[in-house]
Amino acid sequence: MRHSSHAHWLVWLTLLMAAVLSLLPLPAWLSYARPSWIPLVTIFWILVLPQYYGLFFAWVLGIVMDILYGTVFGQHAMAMLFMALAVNQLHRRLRMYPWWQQSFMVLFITGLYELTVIWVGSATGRLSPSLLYLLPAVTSALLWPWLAAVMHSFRRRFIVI
Amino acid sequence: MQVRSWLSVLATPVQLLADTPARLVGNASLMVSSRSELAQENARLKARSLILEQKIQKLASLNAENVRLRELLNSSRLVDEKVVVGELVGIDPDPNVKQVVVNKGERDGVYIGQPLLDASGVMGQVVQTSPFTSRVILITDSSSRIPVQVNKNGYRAIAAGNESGTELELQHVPATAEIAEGDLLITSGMGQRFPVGYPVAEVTEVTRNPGEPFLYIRAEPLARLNRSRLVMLVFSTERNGLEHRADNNGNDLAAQEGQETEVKQ
Repeated sequence: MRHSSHAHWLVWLTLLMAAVLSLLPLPAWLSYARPSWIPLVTIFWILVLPQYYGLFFAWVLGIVMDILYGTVFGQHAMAMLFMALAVNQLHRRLRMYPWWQQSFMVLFITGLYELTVIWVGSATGRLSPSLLYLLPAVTSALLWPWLAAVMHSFRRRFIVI
Repeated sequence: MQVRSWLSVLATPVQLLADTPARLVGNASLMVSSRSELAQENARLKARSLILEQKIQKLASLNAENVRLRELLNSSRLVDEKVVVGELVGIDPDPNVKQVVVNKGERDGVYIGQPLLDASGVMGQVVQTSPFTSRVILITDSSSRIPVQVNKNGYRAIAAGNESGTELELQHVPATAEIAEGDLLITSGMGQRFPVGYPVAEVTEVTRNPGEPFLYIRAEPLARLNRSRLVMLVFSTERNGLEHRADNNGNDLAAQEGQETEVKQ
């Protein structure tokens, strides 16, 4: 199975870039709208390579995010797990959808992710609840068509299968 | 906790990478600034350093005097502080969470609960450590509390961060308290986290609402929480002054200890 796969370093490189983008200091008003970069990239790779990347992949990334953001262990891991579960269940349909329908689904999936993050976050007293937390889901959905196009072109260029 | 501390080592390169653009911009602006500008800045800094040195001269003798007077009063000595200069390498991406990452960690002796200062006041305290970096909660975070006292009369209160993320609120101050706009708030040393006497904030608003049992008091932090890149981690060299009072067989020794403020980079 593994023999047919190559250039999977691209997956980790894109994830590293996503991690850097998610940590990049932004002005406060702009950081409310910061897209959830790591979940977006994870959704993409689970969507195109479900035979390699699935729930465990997402969970490990979630643990890494917990370390990066200094949150309780499991906060982002659980959110990423729920998100990966949704993508995994829907990936056959999602791949068929036109771009606008895909980004609509991305809105829901990243919304689910943000919801889980805020849920655990407010239970551990880290976040003040307000509806602004859904803004990243909106910007993520708006970003999705462009991100997917760029990532697809990368994927074709470096033949990640 | 140990697991997190070691796993954080993996996160450190990513954090440094995310910090590079800001660093590059800083370096670039340094490179393109003209020679005359640099000379001007140099002159300004020299003048400032001269003024500060003059103040320190005064401080040394005042400090020694303070130590002697405190011994006469038989009260515990003021603790001495050592300072390690660090640099901010990251801020929390969540705008509701006021936390920053500093490039000093367990390797440099940083411990949980350690106070962080900048040139003008208290910034916050360490909440997580890893070998090379540590995470600091700023005083404006909505879950942060810092014991303060009003500088002019020693009135004690607790300053809490609020939802705005940029200012402090004094909690549970009765309407009879003597506190006014413009008052300086300094750390009171209660709670044994923050050393006594560092400036924290300036009172900007005192609202007396007859229907409420407490005053509504807002204060502006003195530390430049959003702008400071160079920060100082404070090490108290003597954690409990009471123990050392027992061996009071030399005033001079105490006076000397009172003077030295070690700065290690």
